[in-house]
Amino acid sequence: MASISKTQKRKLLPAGPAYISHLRLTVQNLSFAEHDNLLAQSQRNLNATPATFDDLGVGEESESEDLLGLDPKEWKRQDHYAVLGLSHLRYKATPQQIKIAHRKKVLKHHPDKKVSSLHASGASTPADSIYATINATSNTNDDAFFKCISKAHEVLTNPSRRAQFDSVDPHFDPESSNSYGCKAAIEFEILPLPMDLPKPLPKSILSADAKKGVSFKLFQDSFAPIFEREARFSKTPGAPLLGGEDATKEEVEGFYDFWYNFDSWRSFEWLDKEVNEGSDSRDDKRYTEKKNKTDRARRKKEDTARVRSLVDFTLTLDPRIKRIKQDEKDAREAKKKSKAGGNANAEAAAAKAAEEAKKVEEAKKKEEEENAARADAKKAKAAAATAAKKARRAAREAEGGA
Amino acid sequence: MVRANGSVRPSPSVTPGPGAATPAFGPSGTPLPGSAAAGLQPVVGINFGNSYASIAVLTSEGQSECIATEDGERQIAAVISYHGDETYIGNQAIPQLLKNSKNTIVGFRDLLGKKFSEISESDKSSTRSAPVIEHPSQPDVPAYSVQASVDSSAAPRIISVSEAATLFLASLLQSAQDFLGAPASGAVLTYPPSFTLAQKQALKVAAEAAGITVLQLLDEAGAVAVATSEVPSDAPSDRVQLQLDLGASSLALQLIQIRSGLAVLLSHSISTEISTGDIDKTLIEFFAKDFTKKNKIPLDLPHGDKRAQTLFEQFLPFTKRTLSATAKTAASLSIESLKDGYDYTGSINRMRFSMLAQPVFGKIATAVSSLLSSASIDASQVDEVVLVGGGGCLPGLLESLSAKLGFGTDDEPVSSPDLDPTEVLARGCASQAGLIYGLSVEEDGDIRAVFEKELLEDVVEVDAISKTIGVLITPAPSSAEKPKDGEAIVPVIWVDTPIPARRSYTFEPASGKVTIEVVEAEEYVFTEKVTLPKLENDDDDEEDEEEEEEVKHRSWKKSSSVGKVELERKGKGDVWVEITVSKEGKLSVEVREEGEGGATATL
Repeated sequence: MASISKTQKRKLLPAGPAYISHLRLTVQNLSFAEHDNLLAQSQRNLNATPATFDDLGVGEESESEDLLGLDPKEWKRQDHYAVLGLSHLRYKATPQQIKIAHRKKVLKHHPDKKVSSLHASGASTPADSIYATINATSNTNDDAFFKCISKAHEVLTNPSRRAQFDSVDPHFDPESSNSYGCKAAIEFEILPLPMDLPKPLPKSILSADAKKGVSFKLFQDSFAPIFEREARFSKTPGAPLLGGEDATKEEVEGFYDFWYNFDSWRSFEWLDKEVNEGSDSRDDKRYTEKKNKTDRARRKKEDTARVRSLVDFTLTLDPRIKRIKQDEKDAREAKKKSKAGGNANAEAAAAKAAEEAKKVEEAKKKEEEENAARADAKKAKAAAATAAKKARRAAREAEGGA
Repeated sequence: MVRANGSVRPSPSVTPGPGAATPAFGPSGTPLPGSAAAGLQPVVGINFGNSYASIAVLTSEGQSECIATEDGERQIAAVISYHGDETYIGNQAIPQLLKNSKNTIVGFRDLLGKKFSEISESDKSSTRSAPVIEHPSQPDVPAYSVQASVDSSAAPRIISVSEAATLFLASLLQSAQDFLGAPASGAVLTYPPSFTLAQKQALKVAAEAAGITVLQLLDEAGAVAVATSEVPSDAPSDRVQLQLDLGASSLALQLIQIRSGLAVLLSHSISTEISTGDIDKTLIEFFAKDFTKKNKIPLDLPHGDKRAQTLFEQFLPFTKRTLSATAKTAASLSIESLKDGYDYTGSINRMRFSMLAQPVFGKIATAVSSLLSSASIDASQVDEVVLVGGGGCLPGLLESLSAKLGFGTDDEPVSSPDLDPTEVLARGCASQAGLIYGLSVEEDGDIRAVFEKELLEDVVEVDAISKTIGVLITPAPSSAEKPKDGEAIVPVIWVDTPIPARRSYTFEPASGKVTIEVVEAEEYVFTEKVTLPKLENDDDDEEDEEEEEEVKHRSWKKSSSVGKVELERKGKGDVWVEITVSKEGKLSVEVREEGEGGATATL
């Protein structure tokens, strides 16, 4: 132990991580070795729980060649969700998820990044090969895909524009995007608009025999996803879904009641025709605007009709309706039966009354017949009397003439 | 390894002291109680200035970030105004200074904790705002009387200075909470070096009344030290830092020693004579003269044409911002109906501005040099200059000071951190708040208790080393350059390092056997006359004299020897020296050859 000059008093500013360390050494009386251990321990803790960035389930989606070759000028036709790598979430993506997805894509596709990856293409790691393909496809239009990303972000972060896009999103359901069901549905004129069904409607349910009755399982498999998908257009949240097989009458009625009065926010501005930017003609502009307006109204009308026909179709096939009707009928009869079973004398009395009524009727008939006969006799008498009168008058005239 | 590029100063190879900005204790380090992994830490840093305030929060990455209020302002004016039944707080209240100055309150921070009798007459009767009066019901309490109702005959409302501060701090807290989306669990507030203990306590009371959980009241110098240690910088980890806070009300200078993140206050000075107000005054004079020249209308400023004065004050910030932002273009000032219905449009370029600002910069330089001499530190020993406050943004300030005073040396040039002067304080507070909030209650309860105790006390005084402890190595390592003067002493533990302290130093010896002498040393500055190499192309230069320039160097002088350690190396490993000064002031040295089976020695 060597000695040094006497220490001096200094004003210490109580700030910073070093001050906390100082307190550990002075207040908690740790030795340097103990403090080193503490630091190492917290460093280990830090490494053990790496600050994983929670991406809210956005994940990574690789871009297909088609996607990378998109033309930003044709942004209206691009699939904004696929561009941002959200095609597994689509309309279910939250604003946070969109933000995260956008950041991820920008980090990958920013034009500056591409330049650097082009230079670094000497290194052939798997990660580089992705960039290599990007460069191979987009060397000619450097930042085209980045522009697409920006456009997609712009559309999806604006709530009203996102609603417009969602309204006409051709990939209706994230689960599948086949078009078979759609085709079948169009043929059957249920869904006149180009949108995929989650699963093709089975032929059996589209056949004419289906109206005679289908199993609930088949019915549910066919229609529940459709209503789940349609429900997102509802202005009022919490639209009733198809429900289970043993839904009560109120539930089923509530379901059909809601869907017959379905209030949808679906709109069709997205399909508007662009006003010709080049033309200064106000008439041209007005004409286009007017046409767009009528188109929107027509499409909206068609959409309302589509939902209605869908509900109609569902109603005709719903096995629960038949069940409820049957239940009601059974209930009525049961009621009747229970009434009858409760009083046997009443039945006998009823039979007696019926017999009596029959007798009365017979008596009436007889009386009527008698009356008719009497009337006939009277007529005959009267006819005889008139004939006698006539004969007498003729004899008198003959006497008077002679 | 000794730094190859010449300097004897071993900053890169001397390992920092314990916990010097180690991320493990940083804001993002320890898993914090009650904070969501991805969310923001619910802490706020508040810089409560006399004229302007700013607020900062920690991002999810643990970085401090200055945030804007809902008006989009990062510099929030400390102004409260009453107009009818409306109350304006912050920047919305600035226009009220024009028409409604009687019901507008400014400058209340500096009056916090002061008795009415302690306030100077000039502070009491401001021309710009509501005068300070004695509270009618509470004796010797300063207050403001404002008309806070539509009915002008109604009795005026009395607002004490403390209430005004509470109102303002509550609005800051609200802005921060709107940003965080959650109630703030704690905050660190700055206080200026001029504050007394009573004022500190008054600030705490006002903040708590505003609903703020005060984690710490931090000296502005401390906040700057934290903020600067957060950003990457060229400055060595042991450095002298000069903080120059040029605000709208005063010039505060603080000289601190930073020792591996620990900040020790050397000296400070505060001067209310120098402020950005002086710059404003010269600028207004310039524009007023220009107006008179253009329109032949004399302006009697500042008191005669009060309206013109206030208009100037209102529009000048925009001109100043343009000046700070762009180096080339001139900044313009446009005011409608400045006087007698005449509009004014004028502009000022950088050159004109530096000419106008030169006297003020000169005053600042004088203040800095007197501070340096009071701390007996040469300007060349200043390693880092941090500009703080709105005045820090003024173009040419640092250049002008450097030219006048000559900070740093050629070997170790002065650096300035890449921080926005207006945001430094709030960011430092936010980092500090995150740090204290991150201490676990169970394990570090005693450390938390220290912070709680500090709220009621003055700055902490600790024992620090009075002379730099260094090592003198013979034979000198091959990579070390021979100093121009003095001895080749490598400073390991710098002067003013609070104890306990531990530092280590690694070097590559030139021979198998090394002698390491541990010495106490003093740094001194010597001047060398250097002949500048003559430029080839200046043929026109009539003076054919050799141009000489004085170059300053920093060197070391041994004041006493502490002990010697000899080490016979077994292999070819580097030699590692660790010097520890215990809490009791005892020194121990450990020398070790790196690598398997290396030789060791202790002192």
